[in-house]
Amino acid sequence: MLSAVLRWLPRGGQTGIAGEARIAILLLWALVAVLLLGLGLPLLFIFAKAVQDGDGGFVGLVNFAQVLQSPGLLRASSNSLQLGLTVTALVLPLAFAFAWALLRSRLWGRGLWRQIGLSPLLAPSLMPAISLVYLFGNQGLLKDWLHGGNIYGFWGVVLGELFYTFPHALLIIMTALSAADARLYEAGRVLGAGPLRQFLTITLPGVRYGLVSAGLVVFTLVLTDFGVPKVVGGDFNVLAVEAFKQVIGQQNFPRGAVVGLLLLLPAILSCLVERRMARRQQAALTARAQPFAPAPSWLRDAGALLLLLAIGLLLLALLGVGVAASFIKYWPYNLDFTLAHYQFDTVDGGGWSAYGNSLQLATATALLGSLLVFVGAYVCEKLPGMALGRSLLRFLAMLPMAVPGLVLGLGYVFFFNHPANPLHGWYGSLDLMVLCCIAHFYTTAHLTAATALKQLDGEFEAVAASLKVPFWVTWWRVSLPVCLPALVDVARFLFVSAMTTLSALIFIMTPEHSLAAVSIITMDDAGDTAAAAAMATLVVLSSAGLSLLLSLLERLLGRRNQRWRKPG
Amino acid sequence: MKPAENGLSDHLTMRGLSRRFGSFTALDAVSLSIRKGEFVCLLGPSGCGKTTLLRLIAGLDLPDAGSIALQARDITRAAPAQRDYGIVFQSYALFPNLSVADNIAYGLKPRHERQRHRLRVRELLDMVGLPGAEDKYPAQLSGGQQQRVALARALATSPGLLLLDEPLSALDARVRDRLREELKGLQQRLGVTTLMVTHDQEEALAIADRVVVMNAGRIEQIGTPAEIYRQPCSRFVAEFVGEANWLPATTSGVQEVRVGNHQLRLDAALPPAPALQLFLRPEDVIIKPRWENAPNTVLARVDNISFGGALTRIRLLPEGMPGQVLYAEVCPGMLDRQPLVPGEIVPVELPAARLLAFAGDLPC
Repeated sequence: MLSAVLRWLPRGGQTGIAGEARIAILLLWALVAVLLLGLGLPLLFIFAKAVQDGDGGFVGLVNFAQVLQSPGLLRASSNSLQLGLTVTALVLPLAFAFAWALLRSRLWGRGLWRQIGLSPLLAPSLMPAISLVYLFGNQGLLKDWLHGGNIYGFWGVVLGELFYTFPHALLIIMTALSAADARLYEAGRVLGAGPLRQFLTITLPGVRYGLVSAGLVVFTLVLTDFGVPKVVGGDFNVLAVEAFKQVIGQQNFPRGAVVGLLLLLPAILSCLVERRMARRQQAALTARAQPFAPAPSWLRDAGALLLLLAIGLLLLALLGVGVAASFIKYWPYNLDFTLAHYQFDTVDGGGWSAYGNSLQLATATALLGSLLVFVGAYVCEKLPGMALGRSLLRFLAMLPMAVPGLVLGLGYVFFFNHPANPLHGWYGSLDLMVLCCIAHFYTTAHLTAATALKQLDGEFEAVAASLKVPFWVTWWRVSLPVCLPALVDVARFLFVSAMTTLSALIFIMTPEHSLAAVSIITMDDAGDTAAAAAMATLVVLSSAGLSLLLSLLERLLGRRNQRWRKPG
Repeated sequence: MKPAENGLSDHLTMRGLSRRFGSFTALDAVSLSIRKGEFVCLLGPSGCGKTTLLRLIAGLDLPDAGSIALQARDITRAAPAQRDYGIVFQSYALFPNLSVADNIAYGLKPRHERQRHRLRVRELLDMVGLPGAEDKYPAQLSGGQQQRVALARALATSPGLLLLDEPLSALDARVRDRLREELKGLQQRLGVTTLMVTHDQEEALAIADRVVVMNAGRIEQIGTPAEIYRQPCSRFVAEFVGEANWLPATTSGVQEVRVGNHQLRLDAALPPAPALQLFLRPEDVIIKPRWENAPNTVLARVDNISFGGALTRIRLLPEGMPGQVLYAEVCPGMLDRQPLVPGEIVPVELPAARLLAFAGDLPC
């Protein structure tokens, strides 16, 4: 393997262009180093921590035994499992129905409905929880609906998680549904299959991989989410909250590590299942497939509209109630408009400075992250040779998918907060949080960039090399402009994710550098629900605002620079 | 560089090139020399190693063994940019976001000399027959036009070597034929040493000064198109290039073989094997106006006649060779007799000068 790398090292006596290969190698290993620092080493430290006692001595599997014997943790595990299964079972049919109504009907305004379906992505997972509190909490608007029951507990968490995971399931299922081959439906019709039979024999089998993969994603998300159970969980304890309590509350690092490893299991399992499926799925859609276009049907469109209305209104309610409540004087008794909750003077959590920190963090993550991801994907996909380094980089790029944010955060605590770590001083700084965010969301960003780059002709680099043009010029003049839409997508994804995420950052932030999403928890804990709602609203508005801004920018750039996309 | 200056006329020399991918041997000790200004075609079925060889020459891949020299300079392990060549791929690989002019000027240096580049681009576009296309984008061009732009880009820096990787395969038959002629004309005008990879034997024979037939990572034969077609030196070449009749035969004497119950004579030497396959091009089969008792002449029944434009193709069933089919291609005008009718018996000569024998039982 090393000889494969060495082959590309230029031999002596050749200057100028010889530097090109050397720069490529340097770039590759620099990227590997960044990902090792932000991902590999922290993960290794979790494993190490799990087999150590509080003072760092090796104790083998004692911590695991302790966790397995502790009734509280066992209950939390079973709660988590139950929660994950329930939410997965509920969200899949809902997301499928929504996706079907979007893609298989001829309704007007499907683009708008799509945005509504994806709107939960803009909010931290705390937002639906806060809305639920406003609707069904002790002073909730609709408390009477529960007939003396209580939103705090299992079903409250389920509702919140439904909202939080819905867009993730929707995206995957929409992708699967949109890869439909019209010729199959025509063949079915010619052979006399009715709509139901067509649905059962063509539509469902076509999306089964998408459904399984959406289910795995949702299950993992629910198991590792921290925000919803924290706010509406009440006595209902789950593993994610337990890990937080062990590490931050009781400073019991080894036990926190074991819980973290437990949370890693479902994600790793999902990844393995997904990989197996991906191999079988290859031939799902051939190049000669005809895109499916639904025939006009009044009845079907009416049904689709009802579905969209029902689910869409529920989503908007869970988003909107929190937003509305943040502008209201005293819910639900005095419904006058006020901006008082946005003062944040009288509440803990950092207020506007936390929001400022979050903006800074999200901007830095978006800018640095998209650059890093695009260079990384380019090196992975387009540069010749360096087989060992490239496969290592590719592995590190895919790793974050299997690592829940919570686990990554734990790893950061163990690694960067270690007294012997020379980077110890970095702990708690905004820079480290940027690194953490980039590592956490690397896989999705990398896949987006890599997919876009793969669509470029594989011979561009070969042509450029024959013309004696170094690869970075081609990257700048061709690859980047052609992939601009994907680049904007990556930046938007990183910004919104960094703005809304909680799971990893809550472990590494310090009170001096509070963050918006974390301050929501703090405020909610202190009973300042209105302020928490206000902060959540700020996050939603910033995410939505930036998304809008980027769309406009893309359109402007598109008009100026992308004349070449239009044929004829 | 004139050949006289150092006595070397070989522009590109490969010695013992090998390349393995895992257990698959893509190239097996291939040696080849290309003279300056020559147009050489690498011809072979897919997987024969021709593209691997081209990629080694381009520096896009490195050999496991062997050496490559360009103008007597060893470039075996040089980076692509340290070699001196232009390349055109089957996909053309035009940069979609750059205009035709920017595509062609991509490799011109220094980059700020816009005025000079503009002149060069215009000159190149005139040369490839696309004047005035500077401001178009690749998506606005037809396949043939894109191919011309790719060629202009490859020639922009006046490289000493032009590499073409199946450049015509993605085009319609009509466009392909015209471009093939233009390509050959351009190459002769510029005198640039050219190496083209193709799987299309007709294309290779039409365009090349010399054809290199490859099979399973080895070179089977190197020769002019006429040599390759007329005197294939191996059974693979004989079968891969053009069409042929194959007659199973046994050795029955010095330059004499037995086919069915006929005795045939060959001018060429026989391979030292008891079982043979005789090779004869359909156009070499002679249909005689009347029977005469001459060597290598047999009677055959006309089974089918199909009109093929310039040539008429006749399916013959020779007597005394049960189950054997013999195809003949004749110019209708040169047939010195009444028109042929299916079912009639005609005398057919299998000329000794055209018959070749290869070892083996069945056609592979």
